[in-house]
Amino acid sequence: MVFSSITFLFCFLPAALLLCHAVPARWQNGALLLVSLVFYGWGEPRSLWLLLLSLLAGWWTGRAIEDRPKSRKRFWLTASLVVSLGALALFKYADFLLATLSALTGTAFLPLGLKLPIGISFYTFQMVSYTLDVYRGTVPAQRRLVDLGAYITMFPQLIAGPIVRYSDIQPQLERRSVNLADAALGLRRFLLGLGKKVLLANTLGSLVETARTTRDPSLLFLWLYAAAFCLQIYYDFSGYSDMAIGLGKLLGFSFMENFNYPFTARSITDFWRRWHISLGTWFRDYVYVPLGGNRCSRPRWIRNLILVWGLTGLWHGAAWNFVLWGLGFALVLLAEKLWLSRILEKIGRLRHVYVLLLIAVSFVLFDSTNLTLAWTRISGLFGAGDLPLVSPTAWYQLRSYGWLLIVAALGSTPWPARTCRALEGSRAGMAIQLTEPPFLLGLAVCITAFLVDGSFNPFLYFRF
Amino acid sequence: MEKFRQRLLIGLLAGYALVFSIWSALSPAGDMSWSERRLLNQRPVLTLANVASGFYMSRFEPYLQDQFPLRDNLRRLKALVSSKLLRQSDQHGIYLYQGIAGKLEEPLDPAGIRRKAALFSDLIRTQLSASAGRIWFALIPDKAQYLASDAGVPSVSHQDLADLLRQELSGCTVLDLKDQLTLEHFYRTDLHWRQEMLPDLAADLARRMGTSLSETWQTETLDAPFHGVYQSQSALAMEPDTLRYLTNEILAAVRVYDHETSRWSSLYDPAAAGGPDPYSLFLSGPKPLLTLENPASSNPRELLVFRDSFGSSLIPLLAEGYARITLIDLRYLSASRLDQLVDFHGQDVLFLYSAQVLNEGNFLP
Repeated sequence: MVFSSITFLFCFLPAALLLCHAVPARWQNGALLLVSLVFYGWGEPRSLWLLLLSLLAGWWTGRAIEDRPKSRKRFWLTASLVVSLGALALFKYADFLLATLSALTGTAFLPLGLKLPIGISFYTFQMVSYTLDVYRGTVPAQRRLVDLGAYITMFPQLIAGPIVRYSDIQPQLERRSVNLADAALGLRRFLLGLGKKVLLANTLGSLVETARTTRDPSLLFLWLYAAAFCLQIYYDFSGYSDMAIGLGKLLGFSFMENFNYPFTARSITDFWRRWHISLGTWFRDYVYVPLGGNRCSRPRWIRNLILVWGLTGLWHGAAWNFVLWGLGFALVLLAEKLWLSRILEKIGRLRHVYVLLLIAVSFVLFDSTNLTLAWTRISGLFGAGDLPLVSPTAWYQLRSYGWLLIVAALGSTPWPARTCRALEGSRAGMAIQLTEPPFLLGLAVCITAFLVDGSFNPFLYFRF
Repeated sequence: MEKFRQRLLIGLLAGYALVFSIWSALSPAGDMSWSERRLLNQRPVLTLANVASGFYMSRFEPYLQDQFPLRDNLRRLKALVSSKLLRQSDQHGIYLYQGIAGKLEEPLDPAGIRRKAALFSDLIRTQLSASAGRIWFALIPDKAQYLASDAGVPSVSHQDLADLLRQELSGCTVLDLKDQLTLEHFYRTDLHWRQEMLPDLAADLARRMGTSLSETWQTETLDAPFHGVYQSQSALAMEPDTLRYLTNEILAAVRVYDHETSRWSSLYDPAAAGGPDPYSLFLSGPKPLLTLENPASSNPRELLVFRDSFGSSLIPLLAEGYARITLIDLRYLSASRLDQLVDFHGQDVLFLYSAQVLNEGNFLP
């Protein structure tokens, strides 16, 4: 089940919220676990067993790590990682590995053809972080399976993040409450996220789809596609994160922010502090730092960076374009850390052009189903391929989507929020505050209209 | 003040969700969407097997979307928000210019047109050899040809399409109907041409094929407003069209045999105009194989027509000039089965196809 569906909004969510708030406090985690399993099973009934198996294994090994003597802790940690990451490797990467082996050796290895369970990358990373934290002694093992289950399967962030740390929400698993302000804030955040997804991301997605399949290509169309896809994935992903944070608030949880206006970044290093923050910090804390981070020799530091970014790419999908996407960022980040940052300091606002250009190219690679297509598109962006400058279809689409692209671009900056803050206390600010509830109701009706119409509603996370 | 605002926000949004949840759950399921001219999805059957396989869940969302309260109003709202607020030029590929709806044309697909031309040429060579010299291909331009440039919308070069067709087709005379039509010839809300505007075109076509029409018609008008397919697809607010049809004593006597249902009927079916697709008034809508018998014909000639839906409104006007007309729609009937169903014995042959079907349609085996 996805948040941007009639089923979720008008069947599941009201029932889930009513149940979670109607039961006594001691049963709240049980209720949350129950509705989360229904939520996951609705879309992935055949993968439910894997989620439950992963949960059981994590719960068991977590307790074993805590209970066993120091000499045995590492064994149980290893066992836990083998189970969690093994399942991820089997379901997500096995066919990719077999296809690569086939290409390298010339021997045809038959693919396993296993269906990728939705959200496996997210819940696996949460389980890994939990067992590692227990091993390090930063959190106690969760004794109650239901409580750990509520954390791992929590429906707001189960299939699209943010990746929530057990240490961050452990106190809320023990005791939580929702007051009027939290509920209002949560609803507002959820609805704005849903609006970002349904009204902006999906509409931009239509342009992306048109550009992908056009029989009338041109340079303008390629750049339109690149810009639209960057904005689509931003609004899609940040919209989902907003919805998750909002739903968390409605249930009494506080999740970390996952996006912080990434398109206003001054460098790629800065971009990755603002984009999918929960993933970046996860890799930093559980892979990069344990490997030595940057407090080691330069060759080891370079190795650490390449390894982390290769894995980051691989996390996004089992294909070479994702691996190259990650490694490309590793090279840029290396360059920035070694010498490029000094140049970026000197060029002032032109830094933003550099960042946006690299992001656009990187997301074209991200979106390409194979490397040949990626090369065709990326080289085409810079004039290769004898494409006409403008085609009638591209010109039409620019006029049709121009306004939306401007609105989406402005919306991806802090400018609207800053404007609202600047108006606080003024008459205009009062008017904005007073009209916010009916505005949000209007937004809810518009979103419903788009969903009922059966508009383009892709799910970008099927590979994650 | 802040507390009031928070209460209002929660009350409005929770109330909205609950009202529509309950309304949606209690509303009886409808069968048909008249505005979209299609059957609505029904609730999937709840069985353990359907749930375990995920089938039930995969069909539940389309069912909820289709049966949602105020669906038609919400679709209109969506079109309004898209066009006015997001300033999108089209809805599902349908654009509006001065109250007339057009559809964005796909860029020219030479390979697809060549494949279709090869199919027609093959038919002409293998099945229609007895008709040599009396085979015509009439190309109907898309409505967008008369609308797109004014609306600032890209369109296919009709000339390129016609040239390609002439180049690829063999064994027939290609007639391009572009210069005989104007935007006025088409419905505002639909892709089709208006029959009441076609007498001159029909007479000219008949003359080119060596027959003649009396050209005396009575115009009948249907009471019900006609919301065409472009309006249905886009949900854009538009003034409906009026359905009219032309008849005379000869046409009133023409009988139509539907080979699929083995039933006889008339050229026009006013009852069908009250159905999901009002354009089915003409020849009762899309049919794979029809035969028109004209008992009043003094002319023993027969005509074979390979056609799409545009033929439904034009061919009745040609019925006067022939004793028998056989209409074949290759979208619903495989070309490989034709010799089992149709007797080819040297009839006049007319291929009557719209540019849209040639460029975007798919009726190849």
